[in-house]
Amino acid sequence: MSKPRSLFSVFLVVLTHWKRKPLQLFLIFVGLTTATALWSTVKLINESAERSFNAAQQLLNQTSAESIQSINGNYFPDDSFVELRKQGWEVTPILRGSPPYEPLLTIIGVDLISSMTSSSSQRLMKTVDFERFMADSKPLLANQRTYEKFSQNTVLDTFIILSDLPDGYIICDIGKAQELLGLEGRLSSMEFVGPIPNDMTELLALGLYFTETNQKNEIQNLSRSFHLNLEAFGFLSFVVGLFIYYSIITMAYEQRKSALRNLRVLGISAITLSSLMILEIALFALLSGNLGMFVSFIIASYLLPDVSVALASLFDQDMTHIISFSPSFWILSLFVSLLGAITASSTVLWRASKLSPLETGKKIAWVQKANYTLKGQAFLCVLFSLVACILMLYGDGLLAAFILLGLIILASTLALPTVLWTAVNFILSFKIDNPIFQWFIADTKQQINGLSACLMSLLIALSVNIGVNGMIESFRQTFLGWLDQRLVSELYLSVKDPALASQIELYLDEKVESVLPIVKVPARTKNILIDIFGFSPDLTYEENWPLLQAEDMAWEKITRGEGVLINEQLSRRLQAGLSDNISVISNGRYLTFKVLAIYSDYGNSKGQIMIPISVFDEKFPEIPHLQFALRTYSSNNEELRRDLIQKFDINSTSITDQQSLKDFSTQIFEKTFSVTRALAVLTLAVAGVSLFTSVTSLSAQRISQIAPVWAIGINRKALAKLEFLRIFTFTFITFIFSVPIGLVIAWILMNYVHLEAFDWRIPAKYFPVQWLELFLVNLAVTFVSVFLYYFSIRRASPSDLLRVTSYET
Amino acid sequence: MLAVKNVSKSYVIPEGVQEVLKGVSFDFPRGSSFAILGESGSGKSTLLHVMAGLEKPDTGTVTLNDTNMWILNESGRAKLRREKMAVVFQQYNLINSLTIGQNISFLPKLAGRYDSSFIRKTVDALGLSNILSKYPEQTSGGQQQRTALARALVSKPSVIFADEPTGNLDEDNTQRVIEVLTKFTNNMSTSLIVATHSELLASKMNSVTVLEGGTLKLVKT
Amino acid sequence: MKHSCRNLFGLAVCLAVTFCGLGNGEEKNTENVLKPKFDVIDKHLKLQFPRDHGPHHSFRFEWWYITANLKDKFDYDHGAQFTLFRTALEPKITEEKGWNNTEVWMAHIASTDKNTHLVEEKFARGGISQAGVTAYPFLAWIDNWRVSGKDLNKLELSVTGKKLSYYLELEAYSPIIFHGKNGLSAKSDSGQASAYYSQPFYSASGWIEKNGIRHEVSGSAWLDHEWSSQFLSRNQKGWDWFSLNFSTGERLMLFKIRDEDGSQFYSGTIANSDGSVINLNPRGISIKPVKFKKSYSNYPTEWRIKIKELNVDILINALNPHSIMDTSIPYWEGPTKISGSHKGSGYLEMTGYEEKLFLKR
Repeated sequence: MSKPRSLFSVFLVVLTHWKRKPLQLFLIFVGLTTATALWSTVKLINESAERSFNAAQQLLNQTSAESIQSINGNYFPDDSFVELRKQGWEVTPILRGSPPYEPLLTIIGVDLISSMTSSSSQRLMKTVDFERFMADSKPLLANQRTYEKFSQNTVLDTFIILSDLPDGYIICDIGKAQELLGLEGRLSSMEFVGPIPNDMTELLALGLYFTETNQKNEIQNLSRSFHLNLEAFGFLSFVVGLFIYYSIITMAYEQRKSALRNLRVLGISAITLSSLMILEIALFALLSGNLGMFVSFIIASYLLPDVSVALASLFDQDMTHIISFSPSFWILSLFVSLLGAITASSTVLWRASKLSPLETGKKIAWVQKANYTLKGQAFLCVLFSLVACILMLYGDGLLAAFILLGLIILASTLALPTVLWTAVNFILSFKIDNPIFQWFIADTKQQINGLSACLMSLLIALSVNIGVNGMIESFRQTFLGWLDQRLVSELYLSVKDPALASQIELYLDEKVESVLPIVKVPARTKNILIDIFGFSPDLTYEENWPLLQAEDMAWEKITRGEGVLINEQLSRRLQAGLSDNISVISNGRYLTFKVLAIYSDYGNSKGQIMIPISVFDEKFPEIPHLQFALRTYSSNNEELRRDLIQKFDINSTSITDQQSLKDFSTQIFEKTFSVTRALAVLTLAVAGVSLFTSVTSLSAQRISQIAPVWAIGINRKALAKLEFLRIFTFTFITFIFSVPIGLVIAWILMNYVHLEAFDWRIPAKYFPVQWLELFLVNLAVTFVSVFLYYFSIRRASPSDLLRVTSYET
Repeated sequence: MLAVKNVSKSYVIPEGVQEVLKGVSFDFPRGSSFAILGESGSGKSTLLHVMAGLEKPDTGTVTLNDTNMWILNESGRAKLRREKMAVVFQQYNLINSLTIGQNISFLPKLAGRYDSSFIRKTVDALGLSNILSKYPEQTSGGQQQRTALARALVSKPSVIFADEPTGNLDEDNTQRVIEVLTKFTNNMSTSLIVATHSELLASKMNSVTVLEGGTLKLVKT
Repeated sequence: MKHSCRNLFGLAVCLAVTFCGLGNGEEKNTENVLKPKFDVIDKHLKLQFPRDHGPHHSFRFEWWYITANLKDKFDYDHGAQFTLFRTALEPKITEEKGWNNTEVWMAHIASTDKNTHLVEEKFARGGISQAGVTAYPFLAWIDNWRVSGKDLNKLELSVTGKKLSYYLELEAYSPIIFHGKNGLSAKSDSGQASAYYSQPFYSASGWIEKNGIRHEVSGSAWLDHEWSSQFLSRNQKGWDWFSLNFSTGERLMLFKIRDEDGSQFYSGTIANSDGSVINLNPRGISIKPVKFKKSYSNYPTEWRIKIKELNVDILINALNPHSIMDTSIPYWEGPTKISGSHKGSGYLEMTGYEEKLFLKR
């Protein structure tokens, strides 16, 4: 069989199967397309979100974790920069501000010469050559929207469009920025472009201080966990899609085995045959891979706005959401589709490569066959569980947590057939001496193998839904409860000018129940960046702060300045408990605090120390009171708000009421998880499709198995009911099994994944109502899947039933 | 008594309409055995299926003990089939999720006529006692055919329809099956209607008929 | 620095223009005839000190260059280099104050011995005092790298880098010398020229700290100050520049500018420690590479030099052939040993061998 032409005709013979079974062919495409589509959707979303985020971050220099600012929060002279440079500090100046006529516009002035080595400058220089940037026309860099909005005000200036920039930002040379902002010779901050000196005392003399916001790590952690979360879902959906494909290709193989045998009899080698099958699979994979890519572009563009909003609210930045087409990504997706298809077909290919021309060997009953399969699956299940246990004990890090999650899902999936088998045997143990019951049970057992692939994918979808929803709900309730506890003050006020702030503070003293200043200063302990907060010990805090642990009379001691409160995150990271001492460095000072209480601080990834404001003011006299929580006598504070805005000419955004703050926080939260939830639902939908396809494609085969029973004297209606009952039994057991698995997943998500990513533990809660909902969804999925099948049996013509074609099974 | 009156049946095939049965009328008295001879494709299986209530005739009636089975609804016919008849199919129609033993006891249990000693006797007589716990796919064609026969016999029906019941058997087993069949039907006054090619089998029946040109003629009593 | 600066193509080209002198007045800004033009060096050049030790803002390029051949107490050779470059994007009469200043300052420091060659680089914008030069008292600085003294006779050179720091005290024992006619140093036959004077007669002592290890050193040093607006002609590719300290006390400056068509432009000055200077006849100068090892990145690191009128026939060998300045515009600069008719040490600078850079342009 070496001639290509005859090989081609053999290939055509191999392909004829699909002409006879167009439904199977369709389902093959459904499986592979779904797999590729969901996988690449997640990839697209992740990449696009990350790309626009990184681009914006780099350009805005916001990723720089360390910066130098003036102690009083004002602008400082150019000379401070030169002075530091002369001492060998590798810093670059930045002027950031809004022109008085355009408060919504942020102008960022940079010096490309001193920041030459930074990645943000290099990015800029790809767009505009530095000579032009600093000399010729000193252009303003902005995105199209910003340009359209603000170019009228600066008619004389040249604009360069840089689409990576977020809305409302202009980047230009620092000289130009000083001119536009009317701040000649002034700077707002400096950032390091080289090593950071150990000794920072020089800064104090210049009226400057060094702040290390760990915003960078925080953002990276959050986005990494966010992206990992999505990625895990993408992978699960991919697997579910492959399960569909697997169940169809395996069934198809059994049906075409005799045809393939005939080809073997005609002298075609098993190798040729399996090569042709690989070719066939590659054809499927490439076709449906391409289709999947189209689908994924559609889904991604639908989901991406949500992702962008989520990330944008997390990072306080606008995101442009553009899905970009890249050929390399396309090829990668096709490759993944191909790899998945080949992997899922490996058993079929293996069997085809061993196919002998004649049916030989000892006949093995389906029971024995099923036993072998079950034993194999059980073995792998135990193996994965063992690895998972080892990982649970010794694993470390976010990746390990995700691998653990994957192993648990795999192990439980593999355990499903055994669970079904055992459950059916359990039912059988009631020894009901009814022939139809016995037949029903026996047939049910026989079906486990055929349906296990789609039931496995259903199990994954159900348990992931239970797990993820469990985590999200737990998170949500905890977070909302915590918000209620934390945001007790009716109004929150924030001003920029210290003098104005103290005026307002004095004024408010008579107007409201209490004015609680909120001050913070960054600090470092054991190389962990934290915040020290000053607060006024007040009944408000005592009554509402969710303390996890506290010493006796903790509040009294704290008020007296004997110790501090720390948050759960810090306590975990430092492994510091009650009465432990914590040493910190902040603003060039070494301080030691005794821990008197630990409070829960959800949604925050940063360590915090709370000290009484009196202690704070004593230690950090240079930090002004700029933020206040106001306890008022009434709940309607609109008047007070207006009064403050009028009297002190402050921006209306400086005063936030409790409700809108809560709404804002909740909104961030909702957006963050809406994508995760959408994907969970999508996975369930795919599992439903998988069940539907399996049941539908099984029906032809089932008719032949039912026919003898019908011939003996059981009518079609009764048979159809039994068939429905059988599949329902399967999905029911699967659902029951998915609940504990889902809880395990939720538990791993909360205790490993989340803890690793955020350093705080979500208190687990259980949501049986959600499970019930999910059960109803499951029931609906079962109904829909069985609908066609049910009627195909009820309507089966007697001649179909009599034409008992025997399939090899 | 089973009576067939004016039964005709045609199939739509790609080449047009094929008339298989053209007004078959025949009475099968209770307790006697009949062989239906005829060439392949002459419609023997169709006639059996129509008589067993599995396939609806285009015209005509089939009555069993004065009950016209094509007036009954599907459940009624299923009940009739379950309680009064047994069919031995050309392809045996065993339930492959059940063992040989379970297959054999399935119908009597269903029909409520389970008789374990009778079953044992039948199984012994047909030489199936050592494969009772095997599944159909583990047994040979002959064994499956005998299982199908056993299943029909043990439910003690009033009529047995058998489509080529010895088609897959060697001479010894054919002999044995014929012996069992005739003996059991005689003892239970069960009617036996056999469609067959086998002259040997036909010769052991009370009457022999031939299906030719869509009609049934009696050739020997 | 390497990884970051290589990407700075815009800057690299601009500074390549500076350093390799490839720019000339009319090639930029052809679209803007109203734009002020840079001054050029011509026969009207008249140097005045201390004024001319300082920067010349109306010229496009300028540099202050110090090289030192030193030995430590084990008689082990060390070289030290300090260069401060000024590039103006627009001509000005005086330094413009503030961020609108369009001068870019760049500095290179290097230290070389037989086995190591450490290089660091800095950039700064003019106008904000981050870098600059004042003539009297003399101060040339960028960040915390500085050369200072009352005048050029006694200088302190102090730099602190990441891997390399040094402190050298330089003391001149003879007056400064002028190259060409009163400092008008011709660079081609078609009129390109620079203002160029040197102080080659410094004795030097101090320390060099490399990778945390300090070496006490002493020896001799050489200062160059050169400025121009059109340095090389369009077809000139680069140069080989030699400063040679003969053990007999004479100081010899030689350079060869290589043209694309293979022709060469020679120039040389010899100075005696008594202060007498002779500008050499270019026709009597022969400068030829002896060894041309590809492994040294295209740079010839062994040279044979003949000068008829001085009876000089010497071999120049790089102390460390790997003395490549891995800066934003790469070039080769390092100490040399002299053998043959005369003995001694010196410095060698080679530019225009980095094919890629110039192809890109």
